[in-house]
Amino acid sequence: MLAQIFSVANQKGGTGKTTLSMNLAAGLSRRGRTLIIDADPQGSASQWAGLSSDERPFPVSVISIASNLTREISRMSQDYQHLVIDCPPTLETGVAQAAMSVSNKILIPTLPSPVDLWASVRLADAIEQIKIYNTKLQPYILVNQLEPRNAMSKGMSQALAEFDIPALQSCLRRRAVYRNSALEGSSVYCMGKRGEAAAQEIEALIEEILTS
Amino acid sequence: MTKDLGSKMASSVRQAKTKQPQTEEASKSNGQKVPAPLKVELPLPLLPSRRIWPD
Repeated sequence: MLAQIFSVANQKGGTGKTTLSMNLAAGLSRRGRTLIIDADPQGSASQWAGLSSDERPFPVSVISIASNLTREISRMSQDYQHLVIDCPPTLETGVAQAAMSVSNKILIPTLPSPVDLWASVRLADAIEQIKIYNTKLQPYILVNQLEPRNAMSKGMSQALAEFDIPALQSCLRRRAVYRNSALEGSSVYCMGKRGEAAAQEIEALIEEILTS
Repeated sequence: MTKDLGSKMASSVRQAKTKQPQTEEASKSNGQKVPAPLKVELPLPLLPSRRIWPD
């Protein structure tokens, strides 16, 4: 087995990298053996999974890797169908670049705000450099915390057209259930009625990235 | 209004793509005034004393 590797990256903090990583992995685990790699020294993904109860454990294991990331990933890719890497919010340490250099796809969660868009421009430059070595790398921008009635959210499509990186059709709306699922150490799939709409969003996202 | 906002956001992305971090030289060439380096003022006790002795 050789895993399909997804990096969730953005050099700006607070764009929802961990929330996306956890829920994406939960959805992918329904399709095949999945592992989350917590490459962020803040350890949010590990903390999230640590909040799950014994009765209802988080459906995906999380391992924290601080060094030899590329070597560890290539070793683990033999045993899993999907690896989801929660990258740190910086390009300074080289960890995010290392993760992206061994990934098949990069998801860049971007909030509908100018500052987040500008940060994604800088990340796009870094990705161009990595694509020289990892020619099969497919990066995608994912609009996160979308508020359909908000004017700035409506203006996003025009702004995203300026990027060389394609934006996914799927987007994630701003929903309290994403935050609540973190508190329960769970995913939106296990949040009952409250999580239904969010789970549908994640499902649509997974279908899109697996088929693109 | 949404269209205007979308255009503004798109234009800000274009600017972010072309804008490089400004150096002092670049600031000068843009005709911007570069602030003078700050001078550290010594506290009074460290100032060299100059005594004027009476004749």
